[in-house]
Amino acid sequence: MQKLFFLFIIPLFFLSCTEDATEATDTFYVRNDGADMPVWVRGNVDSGKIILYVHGGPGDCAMCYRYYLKGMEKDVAVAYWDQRIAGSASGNVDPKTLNYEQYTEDAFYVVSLLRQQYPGKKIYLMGHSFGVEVTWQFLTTNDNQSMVAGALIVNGTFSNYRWMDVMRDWVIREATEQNNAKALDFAEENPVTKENIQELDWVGYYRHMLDLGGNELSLFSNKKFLINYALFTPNTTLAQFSHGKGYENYFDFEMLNYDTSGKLDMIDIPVAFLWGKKDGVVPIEIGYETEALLVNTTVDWTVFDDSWHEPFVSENEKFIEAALSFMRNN
Amino acid sequence: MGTVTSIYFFMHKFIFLVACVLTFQSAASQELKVAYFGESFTHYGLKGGYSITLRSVDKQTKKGHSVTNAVAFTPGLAIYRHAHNHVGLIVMPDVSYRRKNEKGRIFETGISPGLFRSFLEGKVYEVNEAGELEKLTLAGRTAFMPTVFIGIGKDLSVKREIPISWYARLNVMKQVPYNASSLTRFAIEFGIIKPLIF
Repeated sequence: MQKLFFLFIIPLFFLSCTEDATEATDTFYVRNDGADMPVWVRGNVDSGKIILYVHGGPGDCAMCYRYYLKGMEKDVAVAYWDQRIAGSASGNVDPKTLNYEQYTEDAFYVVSLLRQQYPGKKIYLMGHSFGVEVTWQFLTTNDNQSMVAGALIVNGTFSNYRWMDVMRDWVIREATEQNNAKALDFAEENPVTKENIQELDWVGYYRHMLDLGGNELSLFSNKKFLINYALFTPNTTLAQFSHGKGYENYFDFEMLNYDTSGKLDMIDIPVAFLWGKKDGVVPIEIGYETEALLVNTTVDWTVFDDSWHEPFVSENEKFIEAALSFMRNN
Repeated sequence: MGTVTSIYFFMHKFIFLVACVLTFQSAASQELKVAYFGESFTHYGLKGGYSITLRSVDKQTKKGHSVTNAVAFTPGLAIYRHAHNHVGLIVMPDVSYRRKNEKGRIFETGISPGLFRSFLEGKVYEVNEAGELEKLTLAGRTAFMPTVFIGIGKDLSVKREIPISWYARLNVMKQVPYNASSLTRFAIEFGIIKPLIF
């Protein structure tokens, strides 16, 4: 029994010392409306360029993706921001604050803090999935876009009505190819219109999309990532599973009303699209629609042929190079 | 009544109750506990406690073995570091049931109405009423942290005449409030128990 005890305890002491080995620069927290949101800045601040990673979800995390985004840190700095109640953000938050207006306000203060702490540095937003929605909302609110030098858009939408309609098309196309009558029947029984968007069974579409192979890559199949995520990152691991109920109002009402299509023409900063072509979660057709609405700027496209919803996972090197190339040119 | 006010009210009642019980205890059944405290296993820390046996009964099992059943109160303090996130401080007034057999093997289980305080590791800026970012010092949150635990150990004085025991214990803790609800945390303890002889 004693031997077992020591065999177990000694490795744990060593493990506890091997914390996330970073070339840490700064760790900040923004406290706003009940939330304590961490912003970890890592990498080459002297480059004069900082990417603010706006994670997806809602309810995902930023620092957990450092595993995949770290490749950029030699050339630029990356600011990993955990949004309210997500990742390792903490505090005492009213679920009613989980709305786009609040996320936009939080993003404003995070960008303000970065500008205050790193005066003269160029800040770029990199939104992924839900983070794209926050990015568009931020850029089309007041004069916020003047605070940043560019936006990198990774598999996300500008309108949740358009998202659902395009996902329906994707489901029909894939279900036809794969001869999946169940999915086809579902799509036929559930048309998507602007009028019925609030009552739409969007979860049903999501399930069929996943069944049809819309996002084949699971982050959690990479055991090294999983161990790093669970034990050696600043993430509060179990918090990821404790906040689901908080988003009920968001998923039932707030999300489906999101639409920035009428405002995208005001964006005049450089924009890059980095899109996984096989993605069924937010199909690439959403990217093409978004581009058509961005009439006052040009879009720098990189398509990842072998990727789904997270191209930075499946084609990491190409992703890093595309992001850095955009920042070098803008 | 706010959550934090309720926590303080509950803790006050609990401490008063325990203080009443302790008044009647002898000094001979007291121990010091020192342990590695690993929140989420790898977020390293230390825990210290002062254990007082409230009640102890020796008895024979059906097979004729002698066991000691005891109830103990152990006010303790744990501190740990979650790197690049926060430093946590937990006041843990444990109430435990402990069973020790004739070979010195210990089984323990109990509860603790803990009080948690975090100190965020980083520079904290709060958005004030004027919409400006204002720097805070020692910023963190206070929360209720009820805990249940289960553990094993061995009294080394039984066979080897070494006057200490070792123990290992798993704590399951609930931090309330946390974000929009609560957070379950796990922590392990590996430590020693040293009886105090007055």
